[in-house]
Amino acid sequence: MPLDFDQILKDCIAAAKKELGAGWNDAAPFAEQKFKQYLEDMADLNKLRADGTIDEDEFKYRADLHKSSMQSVLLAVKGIGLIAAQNIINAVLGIVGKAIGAVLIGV
Amino acid sequence: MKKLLSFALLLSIACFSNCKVTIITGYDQTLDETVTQMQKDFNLHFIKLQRALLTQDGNHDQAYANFQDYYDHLDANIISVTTRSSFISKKTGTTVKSLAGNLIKALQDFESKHKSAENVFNDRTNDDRHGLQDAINTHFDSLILLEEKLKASGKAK
Repeated sequence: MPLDFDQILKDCIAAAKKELGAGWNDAAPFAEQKFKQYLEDMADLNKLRADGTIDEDEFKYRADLHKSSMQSVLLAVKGIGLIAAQNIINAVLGIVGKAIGAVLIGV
Repeated sequence: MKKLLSFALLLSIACFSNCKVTIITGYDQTLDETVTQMQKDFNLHFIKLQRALLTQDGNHDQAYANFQDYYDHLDANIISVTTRSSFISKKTGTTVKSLAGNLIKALQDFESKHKSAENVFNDRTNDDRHGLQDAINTHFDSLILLEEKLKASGKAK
């Protein structure tokens, strides 16, 4: 059965979006482009293996390289999510600080 | 007593106004600039290597020795990236450190495969090996993007 790459791409994006939450908007264009590229490259690689152009050792090296590159994408996405969370927390702290300050000055 | 209370209140205001929560760090200008230059160098190298891989000449023109100059620069830059990433916080900079480590490993493996003339560097007209370039660029892009976001986050404060 052929792989439905469009569906896999949608599933990857949905999973990343769910995990990332607030930071998704910042990371979305990068992550979507890299997921798509990964799936296309893996499809090409599978064809090369199927038609005998490359052997198992070469397939393994190239597939592992793609896999580790996706780990880097997910790390970057996670980092962007942490920056978003950090910005939200600090913005909230700033607002609370100003509000308390205004009340105390009023006292 | 009134003075003490006022001091405590002022201290609370100062803390809420100025205290920043730090979850992630790792922006380093030298690291950012070095990695950006390394990506340009890698792509120039790959274009030349790809041309050699597509030429049917008995794996002659893609010999590691013909690209020694690039790999010498690469190894020097890897030392620089390793050093700069060692300066980043072990507590809040782990994401950047991991990205730098992944990039270094990918580049070292690539060089090692080229040096030992493995099959992946054989002449082949039906495989331009663009996937190798894509994957290594993805490592670069991931680290550079996070550095950009960290830099922007620092500026916004």
